[in-house]
Amino acid sequence: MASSEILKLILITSIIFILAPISIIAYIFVYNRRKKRHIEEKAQMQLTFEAEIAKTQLEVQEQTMQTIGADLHDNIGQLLSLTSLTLNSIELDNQIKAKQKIDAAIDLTVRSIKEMRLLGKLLQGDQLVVSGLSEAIRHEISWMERSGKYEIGYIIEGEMPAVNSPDKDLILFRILQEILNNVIKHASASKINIKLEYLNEQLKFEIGDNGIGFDASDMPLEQRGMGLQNIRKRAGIIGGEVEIRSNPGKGTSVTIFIPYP
Amino acid sequence: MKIQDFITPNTIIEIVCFLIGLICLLNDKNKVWKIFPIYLFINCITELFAIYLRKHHHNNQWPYNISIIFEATFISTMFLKLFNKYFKSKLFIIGGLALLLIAYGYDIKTHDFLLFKNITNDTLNEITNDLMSALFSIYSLSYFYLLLKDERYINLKYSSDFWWVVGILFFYFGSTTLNLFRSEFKSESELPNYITLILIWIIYSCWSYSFICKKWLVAKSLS
Repeated sequence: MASSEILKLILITSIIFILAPISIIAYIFVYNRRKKRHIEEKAQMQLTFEAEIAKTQLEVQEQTMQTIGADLHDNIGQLLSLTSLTLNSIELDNQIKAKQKIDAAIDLTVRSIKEMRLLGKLLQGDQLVVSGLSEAIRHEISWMERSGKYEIGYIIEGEMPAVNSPDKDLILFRILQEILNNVIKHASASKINIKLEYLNEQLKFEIGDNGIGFDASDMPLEQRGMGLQNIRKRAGIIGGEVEIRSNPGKGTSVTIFIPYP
Repeated sequence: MKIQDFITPNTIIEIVCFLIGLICLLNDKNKVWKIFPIYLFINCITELFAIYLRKHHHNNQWPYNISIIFEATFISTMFLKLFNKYFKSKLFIIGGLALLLIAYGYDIKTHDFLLFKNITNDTLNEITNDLMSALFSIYSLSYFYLLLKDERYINLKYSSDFWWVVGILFFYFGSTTLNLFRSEFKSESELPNYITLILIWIIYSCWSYSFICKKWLVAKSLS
């Protein structure tokens, strides 16, 4: 090979061998910028998640307070007013009637105390989520059954994991509250079935009723209810999927699948 | 000999880099960075001494053959520090150094170059040099791979480690052509010298910037 050709070859190879590191460095910079964006997005998602958890916590507490307010007004308030009326109407001259009224007042007071105890448990309701979803669900059910309007079935299938996820429990509990609110407001149901199933690190949470149901395709978008949209959004935050099945006259069933814990 | 004889593009960038290193790394908390200016000083001395020998019509390859020992040691130590952030690299680096030692032993045997016997032999320790280029190129690429795999984000613009390795990759990977075509060079051709000069300017510029980043980062972490 002629000397000039060799020099040409050396020059070209040298340029290539200098350009190669430039390409590698350029690629690293591009990749690093993507990595930065990814980390920022992750941090943003974490913030959104935390904000949603805080909001959910607040909503659970708010719901508890509303229930307590309503119960104080409708039940305990009435019972105490009746007790007061009964005690006021006692005529000490008529001992037999007075005894009957005192007994009635005692009975009313005992009922008030029972109601107060149930309220006390309800107040701890949002705290119960921390100690386990299943326990919190039981309390919610026992409170709802108290009205006597609903027959509620609750089944747990599969061994629940020893380690729970408080954030997911809280969101699921809030979803349950929203669904039960919808049942009370719109479904005209008499039976509610709740099923919690755990299999292969996946939790299946199913809530069904025998109410009037609805046809989601016929319903205008604005009437589909913030409730259902909220349920989907909340489940999405914890990596879950929601399946809603309903037909007019055939009740509604909401199934949530989430990776757990 | 005049002082101007010692001022060449090579010595300028090497002395500048040494001075920047001295200013930026003298108070560095990390020992590996702190002692790095010693290597830069040895480099400067080697270069100046090689110029002196050339001017006095002596063979001037042998100082480089000696400084290659420091080059391999200092750069390997720095890589040891860089890799230790990701994995226990002691064996990896010692293995590399052992290979270089074997190559160096072979080179001095074949060139009959020993410190007190035929010291002024004018043959480059080719195998050591080629192996070192390949080894440091692999180290640099491995470092970049680990950097890409790392989930943590590092602002590379101000990363002293990154720019130090960039300099290494440019120099040792870039000099592969020179290593490959060494036997083809004609003494009258200036092209290899120009390529070497470009590579030297790239490595010392990257290192100087890396030292500035190091100083800046230390200042930032203190504030």
